[in-house]
This record gives sequence, structure tokens and C-alpha cells, in this order.
Amino acid sequence: MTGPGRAGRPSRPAQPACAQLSGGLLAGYASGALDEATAWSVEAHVPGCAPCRTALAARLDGSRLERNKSVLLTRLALPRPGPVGRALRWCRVPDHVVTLLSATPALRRSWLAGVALVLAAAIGAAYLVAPDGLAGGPALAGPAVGGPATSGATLAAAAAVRAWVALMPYLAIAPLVPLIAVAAAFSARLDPAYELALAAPVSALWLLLVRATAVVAVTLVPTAVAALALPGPWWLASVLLLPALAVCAAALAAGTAVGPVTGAVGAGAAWLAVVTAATVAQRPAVAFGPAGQAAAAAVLLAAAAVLAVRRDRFESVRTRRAGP
Amino acid sequence: MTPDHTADLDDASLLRAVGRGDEQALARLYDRHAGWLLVRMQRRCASPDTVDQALQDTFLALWRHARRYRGQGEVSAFIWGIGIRRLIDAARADARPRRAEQASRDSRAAELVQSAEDEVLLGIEYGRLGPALTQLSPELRAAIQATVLDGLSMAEAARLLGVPEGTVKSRCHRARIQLREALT
Amino acid sequence: MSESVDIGCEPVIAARQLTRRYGGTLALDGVELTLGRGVTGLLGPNGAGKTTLLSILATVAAPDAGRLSVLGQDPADAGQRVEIRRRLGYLPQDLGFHRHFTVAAFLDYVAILKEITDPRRRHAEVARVLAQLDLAERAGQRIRTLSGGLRRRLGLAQALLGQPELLVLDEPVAGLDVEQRLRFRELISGLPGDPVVVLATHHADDVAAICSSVVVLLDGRVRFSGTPAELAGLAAGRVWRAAERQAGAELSWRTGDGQWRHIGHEPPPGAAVVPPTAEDGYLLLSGGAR
Repeated sequence: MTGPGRAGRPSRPAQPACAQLSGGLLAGYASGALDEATAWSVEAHVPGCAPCRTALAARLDGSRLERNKSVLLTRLALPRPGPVGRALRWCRVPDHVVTLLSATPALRRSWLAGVALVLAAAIGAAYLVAPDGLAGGPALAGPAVGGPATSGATLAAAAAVRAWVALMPYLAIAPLVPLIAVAAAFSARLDPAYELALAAPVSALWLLLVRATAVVAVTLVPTAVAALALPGPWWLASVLLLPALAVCAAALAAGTAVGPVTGAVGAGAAWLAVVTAATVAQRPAVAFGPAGQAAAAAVLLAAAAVLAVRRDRFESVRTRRAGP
Repeated sequence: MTPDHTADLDDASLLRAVGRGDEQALARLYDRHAGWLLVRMQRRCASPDTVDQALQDTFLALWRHARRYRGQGEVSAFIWGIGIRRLIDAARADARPRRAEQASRDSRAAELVQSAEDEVLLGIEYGRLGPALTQLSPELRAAIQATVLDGLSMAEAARLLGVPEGTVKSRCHRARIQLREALT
Repeated sequence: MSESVDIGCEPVIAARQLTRRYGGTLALDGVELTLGRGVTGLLGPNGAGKTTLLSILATVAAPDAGRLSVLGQDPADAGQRVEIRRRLGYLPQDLGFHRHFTVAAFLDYVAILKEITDPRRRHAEVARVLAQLDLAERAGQRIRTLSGGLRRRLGLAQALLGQPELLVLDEPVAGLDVEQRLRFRELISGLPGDPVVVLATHHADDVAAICSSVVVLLDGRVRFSGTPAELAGLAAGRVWRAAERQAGAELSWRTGDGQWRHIGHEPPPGAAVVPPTAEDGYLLLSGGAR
């Protein structure tokens, strides 16, 4: 290949020389000193010619190439996000949030297996009580099932009672599943590197919300799917969404005063108390009907407000409890 | 440190080894090719940070998609096909903070549209082409460079140059006419 | 007790009357401390309060009483506490790792905790500390397969992420062999950016080798604060060697060459007195409790 400006200089010894390009041309190409057309010629030739590649690389900033190589090898060692992570990235969720979500300690297979077991138990309990399924489903709105007694109303009332008894284990437990997951995501015992998180500038509340979101999303999905397996109406899972969120939020809000685990225990106990009271009084609508949903929404908003106001307290509670 | 078994392999064998998960082979490919790749990218993109990122992305893509190389053409051309597209992606990611879809780029890495005219252009001694290229206006030269030398499709060249596809086509056409006139 | 302050330099850490209780135990009892630039060693036996003090300096725990200023900020105020944490690197005594993490993934996670959100900067930073601690080849290895010494190195690596101005290291060389401890000394002496380092250790010889100032903590109180030479000076004229064990010494032990080394407040007449080391001074202070 002849190029403009090629002098008849002998090429430099030292390595298998390429007969076509002189060292001067390569140096000019590396430094950007060549004119456009000559640079193109060199550029088209070099990639396919091993001696020229080596000679060109020798003229470059070795530390820059080394630095990029070490970052490349680091990136190779990092785990690739799974399908959920890729979906989140596609939805423009920032990369560091996705990485954090994948690292959440509570999202392990053993944990999910435990969740599946609990839900299976609740479903099994439901079928024990109502093995032939339920006709008509539980009445959520309307009068208490212990209303005025007419024969038709008594039958309907009895059916409704059976429906509630069948579904009660699931309805009581389902909001607790994400609650326990949130507390677990935050328990110092389950986060082995919690001291690092404490000593880091990242906001404790933000970290909590990211983890809680991941955990709630992951546990709500099987919980909702389990509802489909129940002998009840298909919309049953939607009834639980607000109470579940309200219970988790209340736990976190209480956590600003007493720590997340204690807050979770308290919130869970309060929920069970509400459900038990509603069952005993035979007024399930209190817990799950329109009145219940409204109450749950109110609790959710109040808890969010408390969290926002007391976010610094949340973090300092953790520092108080840290010790040798 | 395991003994380096990759020193004597040719590029195609190295790439096959990369496809089998051999990290040392990738490191060896990097040692051979990162230099010219860096210079070539630098000539197209002024930001060193973007070029660094694109350089890493290229070898990362090689690591993940080494098996797409099936012996068609030189390994260096395969690498450049990936590299130029990674460079475009990195430059766009810097211009607009948004993640670009990468999968479609990699799949077209081996596609080079080569018409008979392009082969003539490439086959001609660059010595005679030199002055003719210099006489082209910058936009015509950029269009020819993107489509012929870099092997981009019309759509990709349009995205790179920031002009409509039709403009790229007409510029290439005019550039070819001018070059043909200059050479005859 | 002598106060040793870098003349002309602003103290990086200033503590007044720090107190901390755990249940009935008084872990820190009115600790007064002033630390400037350079490497400071914190010496003391188990239970002396080193870990408590370091966790308070690292803003992980809060004192029950007393005033503290770290890097010019007051950790009692939430906003200033975050500012300290931005410039801090902390290695706790017992660092746990998530079971499933690889070396690189763990460092990536900590970098995110340190608010390095841009992925390019983050990966470059992880690569940098991996190279600094010689862990690059193990980047893809699972942490649970690492030995104790390697895990300690990994803990040190995460502390160095982000090039912090203040490094708080609790027993950084625990479980490391002699060669690794030497490498640690080189690393600490050559950190770019000249950060302030506070490290707690049992090994007085490490302190003598790399620390410009020493603090000895006993039973929650500061019993000495000064240079390693001054610590050694406490035992001047009180260390002697003999061919056999002798009574009248507070501490005696057999050295590697078969001779006995004695430390005591009153060497017997005619004893072969030897120049003291920092360890001798420490042993004299602590009464041999290790």
C-alpha cells in the first residue's frame, strides 16, 4: 500500500516490522497529527496487521489502557441483573437502585420458600372448612351476619359465616407476610453488614424504603396469587392491598420510636386484634369492607406523615442500639 | 497465577476461548486490540471519558456475545463493528441520560453493506484516493466514512451524524460521484 | 499523661468527657482526646473500650454524655453527622458479609451506600481499591470461600472506597500473618490524600512502626497520649535482660534467643538494662493485662 508522505526510511527494528507503515506514520496517527486521508489509510490498515497493532499500542498511554483493563475485569466480576433487574432498568430505574434491590438480604430462596409454605397452609385451612367451595362468597358490605332472622336470611347468613371462617386464616395472615419481610430486611441480625450501612452517608430511611418496596412487591405477588387458589371470589387479594400497606407503614412509623422489629411486632399484633375482634363480633366488614379500606388508607397516610417528619429519629434509634 | 496459555493463539481461537468463558483469553484480546480501538474511537469522539466507557463496553460485549463470531472476516473487523456501536451508545448516553437498547446493535455487528462501488472504493490504492478525499466537503467525507469505513447502516449513520437518513443517502451519493470524477 | 497535639494544625478529632454505658458497665469513662493528622494507634486490652470509642468516632454509636467534634462537625446533629459519614471509612471489629456476595459485588454495594451513584465512577472506584489491596484476581470469588485474612483485606478495601479523609479501623490486622501485616503497614503509610487514620490494635509493634501518635485506653479511660517514643520512654531504665527468670519483676517472658526479658519498676542492681520499646511502655502501663 502506498500512501502519501511515505518516505523510504527503513522501519525500526525491535519487532517484526510491517513493510507498509513506518513508525513515523503510526506516531502521527496516534497523536492525531496526520491529515484526514492519510489517517484513514492508516486506520483501515492497522486493525488487521499484528505488528502495526503492537507498535501503535506501544506509543499510547499505558496507564490509561491498564486502568480501563482493570475496570473491565471488575465489571466482568459483577453479577448481571436478572430478568426483573433488566425490566426495572428498562423502566428507567437508576442503576444503583436496581443493584441495591438485588442485594436486599430478605430476598433469598429460603425466605420465599417459607412464604410459600405459610400461604399453602392458609389455603389448606380454607379448603378444610369449605371443601366444596363457596357459593356467592363472603359479603363484605351490608349488615352484620347476625341480623334479623328469616329462613332465607339465615341460610345466607350461615353460608356467609362459613365463608368467613374459611377465609379468615388467609385474610389474617396475608398482610403479615410483607410485614415480616420488611422487619427481616431491617433486622440487624439478618443484615450482616448493618454497621457499614450505619456508618455510610446513605439515608437510613431511603435505604429502608427501597428494601421495603422490594420485599413487599416480592411477597405480595405470591400472596395475591395464593388468593386465586382460595375457594373465594377472585377479587379477594385486592381487599388486602390497603390493609397490608397500612400495616407495614404503621410498623415503620412506630419503628422511628422503638426500632423496626418492635414496631413490626406491634403493628402485626394490632392487625390480628382487629381481625379477631371483627370475627368475634361477626362484623367482617369492619376489617375488609369499605369502612375497613377507608380506615386502612387513613392509617397509611398518617404513618407516611409520621415517617416523613421523624426520619432522622429512625436512624438515631439504630445508633442508640448499636454496641460492641 | 495460572500459566498463560493464550500467548500463541490466533485471534479467532482466542475469541472461541472467550466464548467458553476464558477470562485470560479476553485479557489477551484486550492487550492486542485495545490500543488501536482506543485511537480509532478517539478520532470520532472528543470526550475521553466516553471513549474509556465505550472501550470497556466493547470488550464486555465481546465477553457476552463472543459466539456470534462465526469466522466471517477478520476478528478485528468484528471487534470494530461492536466498538463503533458501543461508542455511539456511550455518546448518546452522555448526551441524554437514558439507557439505550443494546441487543439490537450487537446482532448487526457482522452486517456490512458492501455494494460493488464500495468495494471499488476500498480496493483502490489510497494514494490516489487521498487528494480526492481531501477535496470533499466535511459533511460528504463524514457520510462516506460512516457508511464505508465504519460499516454502519444508513439508519445508524444518520443517528451518528444527527441528520435524516435521506440526507445521509444523498451525501454518500454525491461523495461517490465526486470521488469517481476525481479518480478518472 | 502527656497531651500531644500537632502544633499549628487544627485537631481533626476532639473529644471531651465522653461517657458510654452498656447496661451496668461503664465502657467509656470521661474520655478526653485530641487527634491531629497522621496515623494514631489505640492500644488497650479487651474490654478497655477501644471498640466503643471507635464506633462513637465512626458515628455508629452515640455517647451518653460528653462533647465530640469529628472533622469539624458535631455528630449529635443529624445533618453534620451525614457530612462526617461522607468523608469517613469504617472497618468494624466483626464485619459480616451477606452470604451470597462476591468480592466485587460486595464492594459495589458498599460504594452505593457511600452514595457513589454514577456507575462509571463506582466501577472505577471498586477497581481501584481491588488493585490497592491486591484482590483483583479474586473479584469474582464468593466471600464465603475466602479465608479470614482475605476477608479482613476485603473489609479494609471497603473502608477505602471513596478515598475518605478519616479512616477508623478496628483491629485491621486481626488474623493476618506477619507478611500481610507488613503489607498493611506499607499500605497505611502510603495512602494517597494523606487521610487521618485511627486504628485499634493489640500489637504494639505495629503501633511503633506506623503510628505518629498513640493513645492507651484502660478501663474506659485514657492512660497515655503521645508519641510511640514517649510511650517507650515510660519504661526507660525499667527493662532488663537476664539469662534466667528473676523475681522482683512485674513481667517476665522468654525471648526468641533464650534470654529472659523483665519489666519492673525497680530493676535489681547490676541488671543488664536495655533500651525500652513502645510495647514495654504499654505493658508497664497495663500491668501485663493483655
